[in-house]
Amino acid sequence: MNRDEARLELDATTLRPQDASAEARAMARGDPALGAWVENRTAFDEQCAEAFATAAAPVALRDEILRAAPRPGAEKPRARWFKPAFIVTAAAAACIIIGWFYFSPASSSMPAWQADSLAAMFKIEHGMARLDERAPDLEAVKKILAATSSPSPTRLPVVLSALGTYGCKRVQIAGRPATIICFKLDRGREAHLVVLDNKDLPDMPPQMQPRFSSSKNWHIAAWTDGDQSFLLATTAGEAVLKKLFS
Amino acid sequence: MEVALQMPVDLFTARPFSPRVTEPVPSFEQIVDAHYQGLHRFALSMSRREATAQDLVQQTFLQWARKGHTLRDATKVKAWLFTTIYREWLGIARHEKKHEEVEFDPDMHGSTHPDDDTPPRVDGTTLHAALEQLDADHRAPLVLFYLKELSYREIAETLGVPIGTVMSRLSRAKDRLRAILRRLEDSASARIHPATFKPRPAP
Repeated sequence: MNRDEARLELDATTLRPQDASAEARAMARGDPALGAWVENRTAFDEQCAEAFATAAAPVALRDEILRAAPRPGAEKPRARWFKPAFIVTAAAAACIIIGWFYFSPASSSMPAWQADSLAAMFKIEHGMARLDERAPDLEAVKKILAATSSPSPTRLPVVLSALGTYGCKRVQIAGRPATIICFKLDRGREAHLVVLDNKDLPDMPPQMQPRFSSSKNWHIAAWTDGDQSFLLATTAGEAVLKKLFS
Repeated sequence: MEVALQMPVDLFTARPFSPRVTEPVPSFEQIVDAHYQGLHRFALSMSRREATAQDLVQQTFLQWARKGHTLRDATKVKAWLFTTIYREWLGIARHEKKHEEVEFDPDMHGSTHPDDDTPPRVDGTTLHAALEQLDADHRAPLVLFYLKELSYREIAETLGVPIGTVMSRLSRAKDRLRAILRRLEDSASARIHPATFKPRPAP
């Protein structure tokens, strides 16, 4: 910035010195002639601004403005946010419905308890339902479930038992109490296990032998161990699922 | 499918809709109270007629009532109002062909004394009379400047001209205003003390 530029800027900011750049202010401080010139200009400008402010608008003008202008307060602001919010809500609802029908692994062709289990898992996987309890491993989960008399796995495959967990959720599956336990897989993926009492359960899976299947991009294993039945499902892939039984 | 399944996650974890403006826009009445005086001064200086000035102010607030809700940034209300009133005035001036160019004429208005140590005396009436003798291109930034409402950057934005242009116009306008005021002062002195009045020597 040269002296002329500083002079122009300082002249444009005599009444609002805070708007002047630090560089221009520094030049005025370091150049006595420029500083004196700015002082003189400021005095004149302040005098003019003061004289200018003496002219008052007619008293009736304010009332006329308020009387003539339609008030925007009551309707316009509402319209401003209400319409986009409605569109966003409607779009979100549409996405949920579409997502539910197109991506949910639950199907009417599968046993009711499995469809219910997959629907509950789908909600947890996509954040539509929250876990009741957080716990880092299966032992901690079992303690929580024991304390609330909720269905808790008596025995699980070794590899699955060793996985870390996110926690658990108590649900109703085919009209009976059940528990979903969420296990941690690699790369942030999850496997969800439903455990329930299989007394009078129709379409019970085979004893101690996982039956593998898939629905949409979900891979599923179902088995029975004594009076408990299990359904384990993940979107991590078939190989990952089968590895849990190795 | 994998990609599609990610969509609901983002959707359900997304924050709810919130307007961009965190600072609430003042009520219509608050805005009128805060700005109608300044707008009136500006309009009167530009139009030079009380009735037109009042019309301009009313029209500006009418525009605000209709369109102000589209303004997202509450800090821009003032600049919006001054920009609108200036445009309204330009429209009237063009329509009435009143946007005359009153170029500064040293022979008519007196010479400039930009570095004169003793600036002329100023009162409201004299100032308005002097401002009327400035051409609109210089009068507009100078009036906005004396209102002290807007920074020179905002004045540039309001008038739709580059910042550099505003700065140079302000500087020239002040020089011219001083000269006009000096001439008016000299004329007044001549009327009061005709025997002792001597014309200012040429620089």
